[in-house]
Amino acid sequence: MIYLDYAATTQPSEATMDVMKETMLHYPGNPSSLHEPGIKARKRYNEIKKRLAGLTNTHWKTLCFTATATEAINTIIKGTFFKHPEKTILTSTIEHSATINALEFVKRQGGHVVEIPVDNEGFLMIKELKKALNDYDVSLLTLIYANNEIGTIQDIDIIKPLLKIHDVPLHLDMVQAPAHEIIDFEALDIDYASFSAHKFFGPRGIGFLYVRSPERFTPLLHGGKQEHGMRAGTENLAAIAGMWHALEETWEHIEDNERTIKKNARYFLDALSAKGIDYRLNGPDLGTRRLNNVLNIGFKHIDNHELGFALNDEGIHVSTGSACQSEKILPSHVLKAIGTDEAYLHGSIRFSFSEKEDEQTFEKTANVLKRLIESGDYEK
Amino acid sequence: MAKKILIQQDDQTLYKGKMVNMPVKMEAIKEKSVELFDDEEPCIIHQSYCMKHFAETLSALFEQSGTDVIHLEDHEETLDFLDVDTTKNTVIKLLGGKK
Repeated sequence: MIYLDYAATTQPSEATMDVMKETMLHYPGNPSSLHEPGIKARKRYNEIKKRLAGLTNTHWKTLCFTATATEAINTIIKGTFFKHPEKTILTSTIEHSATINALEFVKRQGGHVVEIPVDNEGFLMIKELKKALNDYDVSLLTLIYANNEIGTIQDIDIIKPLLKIHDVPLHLDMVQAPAHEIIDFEALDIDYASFSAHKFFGPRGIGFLYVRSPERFTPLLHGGKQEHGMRAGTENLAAIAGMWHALEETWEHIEDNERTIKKNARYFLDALSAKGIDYRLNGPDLGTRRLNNVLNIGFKHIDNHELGFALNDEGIHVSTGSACQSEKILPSHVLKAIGTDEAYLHGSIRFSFSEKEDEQTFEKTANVLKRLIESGDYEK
Repeated sequence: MAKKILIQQDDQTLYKGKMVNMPVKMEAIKEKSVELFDDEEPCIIHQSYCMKHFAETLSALFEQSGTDVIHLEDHEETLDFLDVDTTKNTVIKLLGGKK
């Protein structure tokens, strides 16, 4: 099996699973309970949160555990709207569905949302952002930092000063980032960021939110006083422990891993070119502001869906990024937003990988692609 | 699966196009979806995955028969997913020959 869908999910290491099992076995108490098992669980929870805060260079009380990144994103978007319903929320045209649909909810409640377009590599158009900041009373800019489909990494150093002029907080959907770069919140200097453990070899069902400005949003979930009042609900201690361990493991060799990933990305593209396959890399070129492990490749006049099914039959697992809308399969909104050529739009496939893959993996994948494409069976 | 077929009944064309788009009973798609996904209300993407399976069944039948023409009456059970009024005098022709 060749798994090239790491941007969808990753598998935790055995060591991470062991940490989770050990936590479930030895810390069964509710961290809110004032008896020995509860106090022991609370201590463990605090220890882990402080370690996670140490890894990400922030105070531990700025971190809020959530069930998913979708919940974290919803918390900030809806929480900002509930706090400032009269103000405008800004976003981009290449967001994840968690953001898109949270903002659709805001619009249905009478909120005002403005989408800032991106250029043909997926970078936010700064001129349009400046205009929106001048035209509207803005409560939030919510932006996908590292795009899950095309890999574009936004240049937030250009964006942040503009927001500061207007006192607008910035929320980054950083879900794809931790597998590839160390997150330093002190250096990042942003207001909010959302994360999901299963994108960096942690378990599913756990994520976290970085919150520098808790006073600027209303919490989504009400109940107990967990997460410093930002998110009610009994803590999932085993998953939290697994997430911390996975992040520590991921960042242990991150520079070496990134070098391997970049080398293999180049190898894959070169192999496709050498085999005479007509393709285009959607998003920025390799080596620029992009995730090097998320390669969205458009194959000319190909039906990506049928090619994706055929690759699956060959034991190669990828993503097409298409969306279903009742009677139709629609091309990705991200590829449309960056103006992907129609000849390549419907034939675009996302290959996402880790440092674990080697050159043979990409050589084999390129060979299978050549055979399938040349068969003529997958033409649009 | 870009193979194209022609479905005719008494020389009248019922369908001409890609195998993956051939007329298939919704009931058959739902049954396949339950088999594959345990979901009786598949979305359009899951429906297309079911259609691929039906196309593979038909494709395999052409391979086994060694011809470019299949009489539906001879394969009623195997091809019962096809949405045609009657199997009588109905033929499926593989266009462009076998690949």
